[in-house]
Amino acid sequence: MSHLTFKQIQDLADRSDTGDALLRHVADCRRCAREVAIQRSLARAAKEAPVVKTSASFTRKIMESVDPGSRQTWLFRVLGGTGNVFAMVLVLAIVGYALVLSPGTSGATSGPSAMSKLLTEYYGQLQQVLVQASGTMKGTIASQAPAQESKIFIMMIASILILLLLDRFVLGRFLHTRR
Amino acid sequence: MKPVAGFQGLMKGTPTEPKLAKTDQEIIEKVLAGDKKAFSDLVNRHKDRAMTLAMRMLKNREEAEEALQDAFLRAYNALSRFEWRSSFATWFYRIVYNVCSTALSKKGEDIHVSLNDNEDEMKRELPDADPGPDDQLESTDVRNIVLDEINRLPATYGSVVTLFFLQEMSYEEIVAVTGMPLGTVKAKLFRARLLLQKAVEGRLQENIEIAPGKIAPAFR
Repeated sequence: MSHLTFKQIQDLADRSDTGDALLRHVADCRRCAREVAIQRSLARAAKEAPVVKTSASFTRKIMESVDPGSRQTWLFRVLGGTGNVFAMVLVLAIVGYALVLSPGTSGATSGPSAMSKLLTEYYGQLQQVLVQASGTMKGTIASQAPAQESKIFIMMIASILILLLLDRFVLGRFLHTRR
Repeated sequence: MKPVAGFQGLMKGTPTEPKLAKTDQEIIEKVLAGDKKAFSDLVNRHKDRAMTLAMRMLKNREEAEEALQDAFLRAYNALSRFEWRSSFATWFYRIVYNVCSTALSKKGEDIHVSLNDNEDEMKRELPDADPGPDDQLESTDVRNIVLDEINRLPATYGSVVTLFFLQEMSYEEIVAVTGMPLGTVKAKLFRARLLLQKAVEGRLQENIEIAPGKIAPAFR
């Protein structure tokens, strides 16, 4: 029994207009039918193959060449994510205060009452520190520089820096918040 | 429920109107009108498929990205001369293909060297042989092997396979991208499909010998 040519098999696999004669042959010839099926399977696999993604900074690099005026300084890029960082900063600062510096909440031991007391203490401390810092800038002598307030500030600054870096180099990459 | 745009839609709890996707032409017109930032839309739209083509030709991620960046910059600089005789994709893939071909030439590989691609072979009849079983031509193992073998094809075949199957280009469009004659394109595609079939069959046969019964004998 004669069989189809390679070209005819590929045309059938591509569903090109091959005419009834070829279709009748494939219906009768198991060998050719199988070859057509194989080629269709290969074609399907090739079409469904995943595309290769470019790196996360690909578009940015191109746009820096296309539009150099839009190039952001490193500082601007780091600060670019501050909007979603400050919320985390506030939470971290309060939690850090509670864990590290708080003298311990007395009285209320659960839920909203404890949190309210904690917030009151935290903001009270922060207010004292800001007043002292303001007084220092005006040339008045600060009575003392309590270690707790310094620690709060250092903790906040450190938290901000860590979260900015996290936002810039980790979250942005994984959450595709950067181009 | 009729969609309501923007803030009003949110307040009323109705879906907002979707932002209409810009066509390539609209984006290019914006870029040519001076909106350089709009070019990023064009980049994002075409970068992954173009990267796939570059990878199938250069086989190296860093080189492929570098070539693709070069191609995008060339396209940007030549945008004002683009006359819409073809789609933007066809025009751009030609740039990508040429940049990758040049990169290959620098490495000593000539993508245009004929590897016994012969149209006459296409006209030969299938040899008589036992057809073998028809089981599981669509198994995941087969697909993974096909993908692997496509990535291993020589650049001259990998590019044509990518343009024909992934980009779903016609023969004429592939001619426009590669600059090869129509007969050569058909012969290369034909040869690529034969090579793929033989490679996949070989791999499956190896898998059967290594682990009989574990891999579906889809091609035999």
